[in-house]
Amino acid sequence: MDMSKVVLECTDLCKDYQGHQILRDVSLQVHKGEKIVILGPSGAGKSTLMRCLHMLEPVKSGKIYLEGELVNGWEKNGRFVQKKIRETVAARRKMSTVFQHFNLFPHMTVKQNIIEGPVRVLKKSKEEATETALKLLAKIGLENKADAYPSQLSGGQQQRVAIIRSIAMNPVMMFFDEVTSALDPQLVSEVLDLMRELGDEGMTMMIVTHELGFGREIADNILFMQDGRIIESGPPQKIFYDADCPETRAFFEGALRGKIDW
Amino acid sequence: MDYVFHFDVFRNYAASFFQACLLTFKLAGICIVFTTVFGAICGALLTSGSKVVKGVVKVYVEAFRLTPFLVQLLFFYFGIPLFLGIKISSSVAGVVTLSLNGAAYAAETFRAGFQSVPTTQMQAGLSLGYTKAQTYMRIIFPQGLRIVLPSFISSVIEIFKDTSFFSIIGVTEATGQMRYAASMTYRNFELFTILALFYLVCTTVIGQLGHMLERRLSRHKTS
Repeated sequence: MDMSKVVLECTDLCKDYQGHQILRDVSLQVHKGEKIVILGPSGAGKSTLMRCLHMLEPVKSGKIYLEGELVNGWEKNGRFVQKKIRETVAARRKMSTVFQHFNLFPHMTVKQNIIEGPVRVLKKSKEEATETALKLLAKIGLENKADAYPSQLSGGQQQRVAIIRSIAMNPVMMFFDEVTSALDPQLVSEVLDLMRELGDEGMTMMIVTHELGFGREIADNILFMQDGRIIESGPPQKIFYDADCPETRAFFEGALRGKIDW
Repeated sequence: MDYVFHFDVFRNYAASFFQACLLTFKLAGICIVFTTVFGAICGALLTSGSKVVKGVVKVYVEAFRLTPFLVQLLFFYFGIPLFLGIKISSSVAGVVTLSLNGAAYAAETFRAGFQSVPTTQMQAGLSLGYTKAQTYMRIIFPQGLRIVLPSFISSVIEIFKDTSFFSIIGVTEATGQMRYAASMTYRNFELFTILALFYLVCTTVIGQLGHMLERRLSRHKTS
């Protein structure tokens, strides 16, 4: 793992929504191959941060750099102007998000879902994209579901298809937004196993999860967020058992006793 | 009741009625295509962020939905040509009016369909590297169309039936031709019964075709 190379960086990211400040001066760096897990109470801005970093939503201020290049805005008349959603397409397609509710396209088969991006966006031939899709499906043991529609799959299967749909785009990094929260408990592990596998293959990952054990295990670095700020970051051992901030400590004590509402 | 049926008078008019039916199919077909395309575009514009665009489309939609179709037809055939100093044939006036009328209703239907596609689908499209326009074309429209298909099929049937109004401005489509035959033979009961059956059969077929299309497009819902 070449952790010296910065894949994604943001500085002083701020985001408002209907007068509420959701993100306050968030700065962070993601290195190549790094697994970052974001934890924090409900409403801390974890999911919003990922959506903003992937530029699915505009921010109010702050800069985002992808592989060293400033991607979310430009200098105009000496001041920094945020790009519109349509102006960030080129950078956005280098990253990929897996969502809580899978968001597969219900009117397309599993195979069509996976080749959609490579064919339309990356301009690959249909044959090449299909070959890759079938290989990826075989990897997760769902090659016999290639022609099924998403509604014919279980939640765990849908989410694993959503993950390989993202992988088919060859992203430089992936965001995972509470990808197991909508699943029945017995289906959670098949999705987490696939994420572990991806991590072992060196994928750069940013993960918001409520699976504390999984987060502790996969993370190189944990960011603890509250009220739109990153209030503490560090390796799992430190954040879980020896946090500096009282808020962080209170959160994990509460979480361990199952008392916290998030 | 001592009415004596004389369906045999139709024989003399069968050939010209058949021609008139073909004209009805042609006119209805053109109207349906225009309605679909223009209605879908207006439906999409109604979901747009721009208040000006939305306002303009809204005025058009309401103007056509809140006035009688017959009045619109008379206005476009007798009114507009005088005002603009141009000549238009009765078929063209009919097609234009009915297309605009149909699209006004279809626009509202399409808007509802597009808006009922979850917004998360837009995010999924963007996440795949699509532009917003691409997401609309590939993801939102196809799903919206499936949702509105049943009510859209009734609009199509409505359009087919409304071509009969064209006879009022002198188009000899099925109704026009039959009115002529009836005026020549005074066999109103027999001839209009045949005319009604013609519409009944055609609309039933359209409805069935629509159902087949619906079933085909909802394969993804079978679980």
